[in-house]
Amino acid sequence: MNKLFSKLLLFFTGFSSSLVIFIFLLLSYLCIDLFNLNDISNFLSFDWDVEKEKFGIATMLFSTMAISFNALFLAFVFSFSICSIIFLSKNRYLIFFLEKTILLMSAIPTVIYAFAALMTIVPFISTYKPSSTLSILVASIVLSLLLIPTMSLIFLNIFKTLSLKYQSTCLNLGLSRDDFFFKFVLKNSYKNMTGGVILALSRAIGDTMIALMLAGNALSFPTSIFDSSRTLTSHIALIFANDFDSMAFKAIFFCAVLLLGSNFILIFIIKSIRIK
Amino acid sequence: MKKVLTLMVAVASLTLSASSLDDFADLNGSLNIAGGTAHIKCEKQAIKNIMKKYPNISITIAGGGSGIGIKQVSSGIIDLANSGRQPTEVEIEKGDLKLFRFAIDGIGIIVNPQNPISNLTTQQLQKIFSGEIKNYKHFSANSALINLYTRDQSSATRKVFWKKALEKSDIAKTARVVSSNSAMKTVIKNDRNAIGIISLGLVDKNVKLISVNGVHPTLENVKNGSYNVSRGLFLLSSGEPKPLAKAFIKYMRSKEGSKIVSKNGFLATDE
Repeated sequence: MNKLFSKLLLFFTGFSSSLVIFIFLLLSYLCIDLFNLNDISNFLSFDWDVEKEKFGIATMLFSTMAISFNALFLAFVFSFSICSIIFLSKNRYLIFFLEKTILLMSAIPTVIYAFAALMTIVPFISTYKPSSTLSILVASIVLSLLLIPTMSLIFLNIFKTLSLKYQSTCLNLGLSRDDFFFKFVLKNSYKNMTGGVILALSRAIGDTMIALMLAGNALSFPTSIFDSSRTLTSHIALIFANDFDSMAFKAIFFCAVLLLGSNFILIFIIKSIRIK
Repeated sequence: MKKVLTLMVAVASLTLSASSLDDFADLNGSLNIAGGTAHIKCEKQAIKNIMKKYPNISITIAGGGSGIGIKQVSSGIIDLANSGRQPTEVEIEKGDLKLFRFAIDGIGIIVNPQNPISNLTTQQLQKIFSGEIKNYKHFSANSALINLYTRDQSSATRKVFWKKALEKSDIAKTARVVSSNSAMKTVIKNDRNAIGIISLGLVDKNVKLISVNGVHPTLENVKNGSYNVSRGLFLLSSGEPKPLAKAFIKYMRSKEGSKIVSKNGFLATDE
């Protein structure tokens, strides 16, 4: 029975993986028209202007990374702090509250975060910095809320697994609970934590709704976190909603290849960390 | 006497309603519509009336944008497309598209209600939207940076605005881009230094319309031609529309359909 179950699992995993690879190949095929030298240099430029037939997506690629890494930094600080408090605190109510909050946050759809931010954070920032409303900063803050549960749940899982296995031994050897956390748990969990961080990064890169609604989607190259900017996913959504059968439409397939490609790279990094 | 009059009005409105919806009497099945978002508001009301009287008819409506609507109707995925622009000749030829205009929509320039500006000339608009003028102090308002909002380059709303209001002058790349008319209303409402463009049918008290060259963007001014930043709202079919689609187009262009169109801030037309 177990063997049959394992084979079934293997079959479905293989099928899903082939499907993803097929999608990647299909996307690559759909943007194959663009792969001559002139078009590639056009693509890798910073200038997107449909009327002047310029289809550079480097600005969007940069903005995607800027928003994702800012969000990742914020989310890591909060996730690590929350998980440390949960692990170290003796207050059962506080632990219960934090754990349930994380679970609740993981169930909230991204559009709700974006809409709530549009009604609260955007007017707030508009009051103190009127030139910066929809910007990299706002998108990063809200995106970090999306990443917190992803990261926190992985961190908590690692901490709890190590704690279950080694806590009583370490405490019996004379370590305090704080020492056990800082000198043992953290030292032995950084590899798996890196996996969690990279998983959150891939989620940040792939998010559409928050970036589309809050980053402002300007086509200019951003020079500060208060500037408005456009990510690859928002770009795909905006072009796809209004256009088809043009060079701009074909260009978004290249954006999709880049997005899927970056996810493959991140998954590969996670796997290699875990193997080590 | 009063009762008789009320009864007469009721009978008259019932007759009118019956005649507008009569074309659906022998029909059933489903009708799928998708595309431009400006149309949705009035089509929703029409669909409600039709489905209430004929529950065996199912009509679905979705957004997605004019381009998506044109693509889907050309490929036979949907029965009718909503489009806020006239399709190009290539699109018409490729999809064998038939155009049915049922409303005229104006494109207005809007600011936050707290903004004191009430009129801009074409030249001022060109300078604002090209990014040449970046501060409201140039218009004897308080000093504040202008937050520019627009739609994407392939949006029908933006195309009409660019062609007719800006007379094809550049739009700055620093302009923030929002994905729909409703999203535009929300961001302008929440940003006191914002300026953007919107379909007149979606304007309400949360945003303030600005006159262009002294002409206020009202339906009357769109109708008499003094405000020319306007466009047609089209229903498109690939080839001759099917009976249900035909009846829907007829209803949108009927007297009752016109009332719905006018009630939602557009000009009704059947040309």
